[in-house]
Amino acid sequence: MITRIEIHDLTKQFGDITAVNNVSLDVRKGEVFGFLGPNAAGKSTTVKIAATLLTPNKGTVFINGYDVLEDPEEVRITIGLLPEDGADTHYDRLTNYENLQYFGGLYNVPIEELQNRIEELLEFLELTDRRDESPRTFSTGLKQKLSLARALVHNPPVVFLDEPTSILDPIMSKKVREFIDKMGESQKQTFFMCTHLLSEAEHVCDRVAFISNGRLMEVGRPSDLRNKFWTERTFELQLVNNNPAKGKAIVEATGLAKTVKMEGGRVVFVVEEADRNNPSIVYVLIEAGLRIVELRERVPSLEDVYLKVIGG
Amino acid sequence: MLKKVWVMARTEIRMVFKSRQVKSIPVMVVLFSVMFSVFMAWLISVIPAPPDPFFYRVMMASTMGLVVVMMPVILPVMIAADSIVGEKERRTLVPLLATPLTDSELLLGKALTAIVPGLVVAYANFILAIGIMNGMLLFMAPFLLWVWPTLLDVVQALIMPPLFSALAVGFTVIISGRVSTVYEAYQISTFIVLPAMLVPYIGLLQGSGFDWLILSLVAVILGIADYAVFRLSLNLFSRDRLISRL
Ligand SMILES: Nc1ncnc2c1ncn2[C@@H]1O[C@H](COP(=O)(O)OP(=O)(O)O)[C@@H](O)[C@H]1O
Ligand SMILES: [Mg+2]
Repeated sequence: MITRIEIHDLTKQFGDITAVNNVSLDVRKGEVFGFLGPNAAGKSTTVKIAATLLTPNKGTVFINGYDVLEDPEEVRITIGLLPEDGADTHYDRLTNYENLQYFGGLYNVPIEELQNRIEELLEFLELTDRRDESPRTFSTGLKQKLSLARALVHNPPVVFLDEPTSILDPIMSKKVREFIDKMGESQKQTFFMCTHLLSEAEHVCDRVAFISNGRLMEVGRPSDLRNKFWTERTFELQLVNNNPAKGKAIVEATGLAKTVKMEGGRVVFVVEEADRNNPSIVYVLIEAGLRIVELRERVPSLEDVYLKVIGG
Repeated sequence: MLKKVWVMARTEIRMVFKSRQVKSIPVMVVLFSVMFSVFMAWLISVIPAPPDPFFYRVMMASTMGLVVVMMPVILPVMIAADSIVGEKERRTLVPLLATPLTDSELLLGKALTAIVPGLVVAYANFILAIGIMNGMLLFMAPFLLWVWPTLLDVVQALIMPPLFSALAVGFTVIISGRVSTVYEAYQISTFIVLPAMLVPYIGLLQGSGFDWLILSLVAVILGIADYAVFRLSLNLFSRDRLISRL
């Protein structure tokens, strides 16, 4: 296992505000890591320190083994950055193509490779037709696409995306997701993505961290976090002929469910140790002559987990 | 290292020349050197006695010297004033600071962006004036042909502008990195840096226009001062401070 991003006891203060408070975190090669938290949680500050733009008060970050405090140049060569509010960070006096060419040049990408890379990115982001326009004429969503292309133009092993899809349209964010997935897999690129869009994070991230008021609250795979916070599981039961009252009575009578209620024509029950108890419940229902259309688990979303960790 | 600086300066100069004010400067300079030469020619034609060649050369050297050099100070100071705070205002600074550019590459790139356009204008202006002036003298007063410029005048016009504008630009880039609006940067550079630069500059220019030794001394001193200001700007440069104050 190779650690690509190692955040080490990181603390950053702005006057009286402690924006990042003693955060430690490892992100591995090829991982897509989600950094989740409400506004002002300290996400962007963490990214800026990792990108050598801010100096921490305490602790440090290693990128690919390089210390941001000792080898900032090596760190900057290694990373790509889509900064916070990245849409408005382009040179309006250059065309979209020239914007990308400029940054590629600053990373010393050989000219031919750079041209191919830019064509590829423009094609993928559906900007090819508008390559010679100025980003000034672009909508926020298109500008954000250009920011993404800029972050990837030198094919960096570690990519920081600060709220990347927040203003992309749904179709595009799906594409970006696929693209990140593809990159994460084929090129073993590491993505560190700040977002407050939990449903997106859940789909795209291998692991997530929750940060609130500068403090790291939880780190883990979305499914593991779910299991950690939900020892009991909730199931929905739909019966033929919609006879939920009878179903509810029978499930209650088994004494295996913690709670049973009716919701929109369905029986909803909560059990612990579902693997052992559910077969018994189903058996009793069938014995009672009820026919089951569907029995499915209500999986808490990452948002539910988030609310439990941060809101609750 | 120099490759990145060049990529940066080249791109930035291209952007600088897309601004309308800057675009009009070369036009004004050409107009000025044409008008100036015509005026000098007219002067020569109207004075009754044939002009003294020595007097003619002094007048040309000091007036042309000023024009040649004003540009490389005013234009670069205007570009340098915008260099850092302008990117901050236009929000392009963060991605630039996140590229592999080192502090010295970044500052050198900013300095070159400011110096090069002024130099091009200055040299073009100088060459243009030499051509027009001597072209007219050919018909009007052949005995004054090639009295100006002397070799000393040419060397002075070549080396003073870069040495001097580097100094002005060095100070201005420092200011641009420490103020919070482009407006403030323009104010300080127009009312403090430019006057502070022009007075010694005119003195040095006049002093060095007559003597190789003085010219060499002035060049060495300016070179050292340029280097010192560059080191100072490097010491004062901090990404953290620039980003924290956004
Ligand atoms: N340059 C700065 N000066 C002062 N306070 C700042 C600065 N940058 C961020 N902060 C504060 O630090 C906290 C964390 O901000 P930030 O990292 O941007 O959060 P997030 O990206 O999670 O929304 C906030 O309270 C914010 O106001
Ligand atoms: Mg943020």
